[in-house]
Formats: sequence, structure tokens, C-alpha cells
Amino acid sequence: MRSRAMMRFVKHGKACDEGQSSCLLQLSQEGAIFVAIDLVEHNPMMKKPVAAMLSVLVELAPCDRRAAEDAARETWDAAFSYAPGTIVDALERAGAATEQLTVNGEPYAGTLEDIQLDESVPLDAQVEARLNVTPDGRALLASLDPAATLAALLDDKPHYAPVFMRMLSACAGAAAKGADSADAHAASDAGATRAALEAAVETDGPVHSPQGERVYPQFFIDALETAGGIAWQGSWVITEAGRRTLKG
Amino acid sequence: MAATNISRRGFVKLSAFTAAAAAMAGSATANLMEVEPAHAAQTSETQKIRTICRACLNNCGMVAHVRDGKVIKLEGDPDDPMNKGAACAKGLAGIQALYNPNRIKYPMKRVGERGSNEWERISWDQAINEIADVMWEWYQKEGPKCLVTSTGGGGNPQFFSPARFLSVWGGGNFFEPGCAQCYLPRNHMEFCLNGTADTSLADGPVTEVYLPGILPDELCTPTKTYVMWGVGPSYHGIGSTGRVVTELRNNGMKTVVIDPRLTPDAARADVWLPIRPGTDVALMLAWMNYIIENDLWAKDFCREWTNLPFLVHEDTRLTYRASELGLGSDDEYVVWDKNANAAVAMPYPYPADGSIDPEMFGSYTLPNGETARTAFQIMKEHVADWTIERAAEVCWLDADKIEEAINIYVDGCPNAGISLGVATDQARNSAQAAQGDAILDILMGCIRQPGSIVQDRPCYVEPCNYVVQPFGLHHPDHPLRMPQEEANARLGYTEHKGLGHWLASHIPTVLKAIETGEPYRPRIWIERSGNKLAMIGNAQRFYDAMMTTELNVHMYMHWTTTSVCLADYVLPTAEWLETAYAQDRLNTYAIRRPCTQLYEAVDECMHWSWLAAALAKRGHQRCIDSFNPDIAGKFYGTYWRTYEEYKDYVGYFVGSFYYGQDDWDWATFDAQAPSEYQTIEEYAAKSYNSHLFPDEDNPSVPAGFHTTSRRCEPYFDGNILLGLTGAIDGTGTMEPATDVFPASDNYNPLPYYLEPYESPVEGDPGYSADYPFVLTQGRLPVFHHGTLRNTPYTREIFPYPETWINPETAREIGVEDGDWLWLESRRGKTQGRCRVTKSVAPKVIYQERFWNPELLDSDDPNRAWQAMNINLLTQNNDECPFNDVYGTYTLRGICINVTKADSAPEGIWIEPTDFTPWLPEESENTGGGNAVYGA
Repeated sequence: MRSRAMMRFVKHGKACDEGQSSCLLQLSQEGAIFVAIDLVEHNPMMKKPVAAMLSVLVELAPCDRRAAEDAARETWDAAFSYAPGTIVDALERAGAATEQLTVNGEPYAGTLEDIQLDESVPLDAQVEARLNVTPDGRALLASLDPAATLAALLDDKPHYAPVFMRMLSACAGAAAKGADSADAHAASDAGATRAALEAAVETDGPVHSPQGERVYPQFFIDALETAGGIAWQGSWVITEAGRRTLKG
Repeated sequence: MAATNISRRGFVKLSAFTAAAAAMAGSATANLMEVEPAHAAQTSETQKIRTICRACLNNCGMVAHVRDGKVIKLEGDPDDPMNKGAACAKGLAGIQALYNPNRIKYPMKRVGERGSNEWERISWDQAINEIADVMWEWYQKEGPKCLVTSTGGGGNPQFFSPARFLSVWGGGNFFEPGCAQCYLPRNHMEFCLNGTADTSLADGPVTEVYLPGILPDELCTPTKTYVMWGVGPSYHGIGSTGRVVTELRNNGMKTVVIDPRLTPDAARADVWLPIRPGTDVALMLAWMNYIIENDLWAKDFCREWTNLPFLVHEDTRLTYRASELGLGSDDEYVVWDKNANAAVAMPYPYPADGSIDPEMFGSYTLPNGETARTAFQIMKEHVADWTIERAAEVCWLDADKIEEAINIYVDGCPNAGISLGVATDQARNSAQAAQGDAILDILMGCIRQPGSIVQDRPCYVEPCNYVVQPFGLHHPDHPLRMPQEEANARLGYTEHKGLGHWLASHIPTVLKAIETGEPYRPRIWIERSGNKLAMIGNAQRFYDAMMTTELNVHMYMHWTTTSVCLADYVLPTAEWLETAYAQDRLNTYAIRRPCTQLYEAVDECMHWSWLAAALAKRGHQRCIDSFNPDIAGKFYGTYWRTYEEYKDYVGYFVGSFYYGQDDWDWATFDAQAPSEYQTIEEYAAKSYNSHLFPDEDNPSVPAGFHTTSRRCEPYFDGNILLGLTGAIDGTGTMEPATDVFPASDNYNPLPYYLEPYESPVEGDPGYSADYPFVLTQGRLPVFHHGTLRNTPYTREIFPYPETWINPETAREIGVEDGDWLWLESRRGKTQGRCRVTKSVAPKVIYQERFWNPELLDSDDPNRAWQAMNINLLTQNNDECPFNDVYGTYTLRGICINVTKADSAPEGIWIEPTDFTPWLPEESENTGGGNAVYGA
């Protein structure tokens, strides 16, 4: 199962240049991208560190693995529960990155363990693990771009757009219009409390789906965070992508 | 280890019922290889510890032999009043489960991707705090709805622990793969109708069958006829229920067994009705019709102690209150009095002077001009079309056999009864089957009579079966009760309000919420059972959904598909031989004593307690309050920082609730348990005709039944109120029943039959020639739910799931005994091994749930739940309508196709020697996780 936002993104190639879009469409038809997407779909706690590591790799690759991990470590969020090396391994298994061992600059067909046992490799040989990003990896990083996922969310749920915009407003510092509670007005430049967002969602009363079923504020908070419009920093704050969306 | 003094052959011999059952099926005992018994070490005294089993629901008394801190032998406790020394293969496998090399021994954290099966050992401190960090962040971000918890019936659960945690957490969802598919429909609905108890033999309320031989003969009326409807005690609960039913049958009790399978109990029954899976309610309606048409019902009881003579409003389908017609008060009903030839108020109790003589049948004109029928008249018309012949056609049965079965039942009444088993809970007619069962016993007056199955005894109505309970379960004003708005927001509750009886959510709706985000998306799943992927319908859907949650935590004793394929953290959990608990056994209270504690495993009540403590440290106010005795209260106990605190709570609970002693702790309980909390004579007498006893609050009237009308309510108009208001029994007297909830469809006061959505009947809209056979499942004597597939001796007895096929059908398919098969439904395919047998009818296929622990270490661990898992075929999706009251999805009575496979699934273990790696390993008593961590 893949998230609706990602599926749409892969299908439509939103927010990509034409070349990327074609690439994505082709990949989606072949199904290869789904392996990389599954990595974050099935491991939600890997989503942010995967994006961080892919960003480093896109910038540096091809590059030495140790250098990439060091560069990632400089931006690594303390809340990430995975080490950069673990993420690199996961990216490789998902086909989002490749690793090539070289001995004195020449490709080596084997593992580090093989090299240690390989008597043909001189003891003073320069061994390097060079990382690269695959097209799947680039597509995966693009699919995690909030600009794309946020647009996809609003396109897919136009009936909820006013609610999402009220929430973005609340997080941007403007209290939810029409919300009278103190909590609702607790929104500030520092962000909005959960209660303030809940009040923003239900400014006009409980929200119902087009089928008439109650939809709780948690749906909207979750959807907006997943799409990258808001972020949790002890309170809910608007992201740059969210701010751009709010400005239209 | 060199400590177990039981041989493999001896293991099977000790389980006499297992052997009998296996012989009945011509099973795999021939595989057993003769081996020399291992001899116990001779270095110290052997201590015999009386305890109680938890390999299944029967909680049989056991004696554990412990030497050098190790459990070396188990045997049934001869002094236990229910199993009387009997023990089954499941219980005896306790040692192999305890010392199994596949134990989860320490808290573990996944280091690779989900499903990669790469782990690192971490400390309890790290595990609890990292999990609490994630929970606290999501709680702050989205509130309590982000959490979903679950448990299951197998594997030593503290059943209400997850719901207890949710009450502290302040919201969220709890589910259990049984529940709407196992016991809830009977546990709730039968009580609503008979105001007494459900009829589950496996779950405990059927106590009457144990009294012969214990109660003095002059006080005892043994059950004359026992109808086991989808019940197989020789399979499900061998030590207690299987033993006692065999004994009663040997002493002359007549039995009727209604089951698609020829179980050992069916083979010995006076009549076996091999019913088509999923059609039970059709048969029940025919029984009702036959009893009414042939005037066999209990006249006095139905007139005086049921609502059958009450007049019913034709539009609302509610029974009239006398106040509506200006005939009396709100708590009086309306009948048509033969004496006055008029509508009159029916007071409580029924007038002993004969001043009112109500018509049981008929249609009458009321003072306001409306026409009304009696409830009995409506029932009569409702079932009128269900002749024996029609039921025989629908249910694939012989009409003469049906009639013979009814008459055997009727002949034994009122010292008789029907037990309804799990089978009917596993299809869309679940609520109606429970209604039908209750109605039949009410019609025949088999309620609270000596020898009848339905008795008014403490087990189950009061919370005795579970010493750990959700805060506020019986106290609506408890400060730690889940807030009402959160309770109402439980997924699927609005539509299926019967789930409220167990504080549960609707599994397909939970999955849908995870898939779509609507109406809100659960983000964290904490699971406390073995193998959801093998136990929940449509396993692939469950897997797909649970792979997308933010955090999955698995608490269990052994590595299973949940831990390997889905979990982020696994927390080691104690086996029953390591835990402390309490359980009533008829008029006695028994104790589960920890015999050892291995590795860093702990009783699950400590997992939840420690999480609550960690959240309290982070500022979660309700968690802080859960450790405050002034808020949590003594009845529920606070959460526990140590296991000693928990054990003392158990002692207090038993002492105060059963022995009238408020100063008990564990030591007090331990010093005298097991012991009688009342005499067996008191125990028996407290039920017989207890509706005639003086009411506790108003001794001038009889106590009656636990219903709105204080009579049995076979016409259950409370069902309408349940749907409209959430009043759990339609009265407001059971919890939760405090408020008007969003309306559901009106649930029906009378049972009605729906053909299975996927039907094997040609011409039915649900028929497909691609799936011409109908699948059923059913218990095995060596496993309880998903347990014990990784203990070598049980697995040796039953190494693979057998696919039972009638010879006629086998010829049609072109398969023979021993062939490997593919079974395929609209949702997936899996394998089994053919057993050609007349133990099932033509076109009926039987296969039980299974999973393959040996595949967890393969390149694709998912094959452990895919290779031979019948739940890849079953339903839990919207395309198949759920039961309205409970949301039951369909596990039995789905349609499949069967074809011959080229071979067995690759890598599965079949030969006895294959299971050698699972033999017990030497393990010391470490004190468990409690020795290294405390909150």
C-alpha cells in the first residue's frame, strides 16, 4: 500500500520538470520506484532521515561513503532514531543508492570483507566506498518534496481546502477566524497548540466527509503534516511550503 | 536442558483426550519417534507448586514440579474441582513454551527496515523511554486518537490491559481478533435476552455441568440433554470442558452436536447435524418454529417470566409501556387480559392471584385505536416460513435428523440447554445466532433450573475473570474512565454499538482509518498477542495497513510474524508459568503462582504500567493520576511500579471481592489458595430459581432477571435502543449507557437469517463457479489460537494444517489423501495438505489457522504467515457486509476453490527431527525484567 499523495505524485509527476516527470511516469509503469517508496511508506520513522541523507547524496554524489555520512551527521536531527550509516544501507537495499568499492581507484567486485581476505589486494591499497544516487533515489527525494505533496493533498481534497487554509493560518500566527476559545487564540508566531488547530478545523462545527461521515481534527492535522505544510516543534508551525501555499 | 522428565511419547499419552481426538482423525501420532526420557537432575528437592494453566481459557489446575529453580514437570491438579487432574497437550507444552529457544528474552529494537529481522538488544530503560518519547510526541501533536492497542486470546494475556491503558491514555482504539468474531456476540446478546448469562462452555459461565460428583447427589440434577452448537470440548478445552462432557455423556446425558466437522463429541452424540457453515440461524429459526407450532414451549415460564405476552407497537417495534396508553406507569408493560378482554397494565411481578391472564398470541385493538400484536405473535409469524424441510434444504441437513435433534432437546428440558460456540460468532449472522440460542432456552424454560446450562453464577457477570480492568469499567464517574467523547469516537463504534460492551473498536474500520486517514489516522500500534497476521481475516490487508503506522510495539513471549515482520520494538513477556494471577474455579478461588522468571521477561501488566510511568514523567496528567491511589481507587488499583505491588493488588482484589476481606495482599492469598470462598451447596443454590429470591433493594418483590422488564426478553426490543442510543443492553443499566449516541440502523428485536455473502448455492447472488466450495475452520486439541506452533511436541503431533475434504469432493477435484493443495478465495491463496474424510460433508472444506515459525529465519520472513494461513482467504473488507450489531466479519462460510499443488511450501518443517532446534534450552531463574527495571 502506498500513500495517496505519493501515488498521485508518481502518477502525475507533480512539481517536477518535464524530464523528471517523464522519468517518474516511466518508473511508475515499471514499478521500480515503488521499492524506494516502500522504504518510507513501510518505515515512517525513516522518512525524515531518508530525505536528509538523499539530499546530501544528491549534492555530493558520487562521493566517499564516510564523507557523505559525515556531511549528513552535521545536519542530523537528534530526534532521528537511525544513524546515517543505517540509512545508507537501507537506501542501497531499496535501490535508491548504489555503493561501489574501489581499490586504488579501480572498481572492486566484492565486499569489504572480501578485500580483507583478498591477498591480491596490497596491504597499503587505498580502499574507498563510493556512493551514488539512482534515478529511483532522486525520484524518491522529489516525492518527499513538500511543495509537491502539499499541492497533491489540496488537489485531492478540494472540499477540505478551506479547513486546511484555516489551519495554515493558525500556524502562521493568525488565530482561527471565528474561533472564540482561548485555545484557538493561542496561536502565535511560535506556532499553534493542538487545541488551537482543532478549533481552527471545527470553526464551523464538526466537519463531515462528502459521504456525511464525521471527520475528526486529527485527520487534518495528520494530513497537513504528512504533506509537509506544518511541522511539530513543540507546537505546530507552518513550513515554508505551507507558507507559500497560504500565500497562494 | 536435562531437566524435563517426559518423553515425547509420554507427552501424548498423558493427554488422553488429545490422543483420542487424534485417533479419531487418524492423525499424525504415527510420526512420534520413540526416545529415551530425559532424567531430571538429582541435586535438590523437588518443589510441587499448585498453580493454574493459561494455555487456553480453561485455566485448569496444574501442579508444577520445580527443582533448582527450573520447572521440570507439569501435571493436572487432582484437587481442582473442574479438571480433576486432567491435563492436555497445550498445558503440558507449557515447559517447552517456557524454555523455548525462540523466547523473546530481552527488549529489542529493530535496526534495519521493517521486516528485515535485524535487531539489537537494548535495556528496559531505553525501550520504555524511547517508546514513551514517540507516544508523548504524538499525544501532544494529535491527541489520544493516535494510539491503537490490541490483544488476543492466546498467549497468557491480561485481557483488559490494553483497554485499561487506553482509559488512562484518554482515548484511542482497542481491538482483538476475537471479540466481534469470538464470544462478544454471545457474551453480550445472550445476557441481554435471558438476563442471566451466556452459554459459552469454553469461556466459563457454563458451570452447571461440573456439579455432578461434587454437589451431593440428593441436591444435584445432572443435565439431561446438552446441545453443543458449534462447540467441541474435546478439542477446545480438553482438561476441564472435554473431561466433564465426556463424563456426563458416559453417565447418560444425551447430546446433540451441530457442527460441520465430525469432532470427537459429534462422533459420540445422539444426533450429529453436519450443518453447512454459515447457516446456523436458519436452523435456529426452524427449531423455534417447530417448538411454537407443536406447542412445546414452557407455558408457565413464558407467561410469567418473559416479555412474550407484551403488546408491541407496530411502528416503533418497541413494547408498549402502560403509561403510553394511560393504563399504568412507565415501568409497567401492556398485555391483553383474557379475563377483562382488554388491554391492561402488566405489573411486576406477575400477579400470583391470577387476576391477569395474558393472551400469548393474537392481534388486538388498543384503547387509542391502534392495533397491536403480542411479542409472541410477532415471533410466531417471523419464523412461520422456517419449516424443518426448508431448514434442511438451506443447511444441507436431513429433515428427520433435525426433528430428532429438537425432540431430544425438548425431552431434556428444563434440565437441559444449548451451548453456542465460536462458530456462529465468525460470520455475518453472529448477533442473530446469539439471539436464537437464547430464545430457544427461554422458550423451553431452561433458565436457572437444576441441570440447565444457563445459570446465574458470579463467574463473568461480575469482573472476577479479570483482575486487571479498565479504570471506570463499572463506575461511570471514575476520573480515569475514558472520556465519553473519545469513547464515542472509537472507530466503527457508531455503526456497531455492540462493540461497546467490550470497549472495542471495529477492526476493518481501524484498518480503513490507517489506510485513508479518515476519520482520523491511528499512528502507533501496541500489540499484545502472538500472530495477528495468522488470526485476523484478510491477513494481507492487515499487513499492508500495519506496515504504514509510525510505531509498532510488540509484547509477546516468542518471536512471531508480528515481531519479525511488523514490529519496531519487541518487549519480552512472561509465560503463564512466570506470572501471578487469580481465577475462580466453581466455588473455589485458585492462584497462579510464578514458578520461575526467565531472562528479562515480565507480565504484561508491567509493560503498560512502565509506559504509564514514563508518560507520567513527561507530564501526561492522567498517567500521573493513575499512580495516585486517591484517584485510581482501591477497587481498580493504581498502576504498579513493581511486580510485588501488582501481586498485592491481586491478593486485595480476590480477598475483598470474594472473601469479604479488605486487608489481603499476595502473601495472604498465597497462604491459603486455592480455597473455597463458599460451599458448593451455596454455590449451586444461589442460581436455581434465583429470580424468585427476594430483591435485595425491595424484598417484597422477587429479584427477577437482569433486564429492563426483569423478565427474560426473547423479543429484544432493547436492540433497537442499543442502536439508537448506545445503551449497551437497551436499558441504561449496563455500561456504557449514559448518553444518546449517534444513531445506527435499528437493530432487529428478533433473529433473522442472511445467506452468506459468498454462497456455495448455485443460483444465489453470492455464488461463483470459480469458488464452488465452502470453507470452515475449527479448533485443534494441541493449539490455542496462534500459539504453540513453535513447541516441538505439539508441532510434531500436528506439523501442518490438514485440509479435510469429503471423498466425493476429493474425486471431483482429483486429489488424494496426502496431496498438497492450493486453496484460493477472492482475496488470496495458500496451502494445506489433503485429508480425505467423511468427517465433513461434500463441498465443505475444513482447515484451521496456521503459521510456520520455522520460516521466520528464511530470506522472506513473510512466508511464515503466508505459506499455510487460512486467513489469507477470509474476509474483513467492506465488500462483505458486517453484522450490524457487532461488525462481525466473515471467517467461516466463505467460498473457495481447491486445486492440487505440485509440492509442499518450500522450507516448512514436517518430520519429527525437524523440530529439534526448538527443544528446551537451559535457562536460569533470573527474576525476569522485574529484577533489572522498575518504574
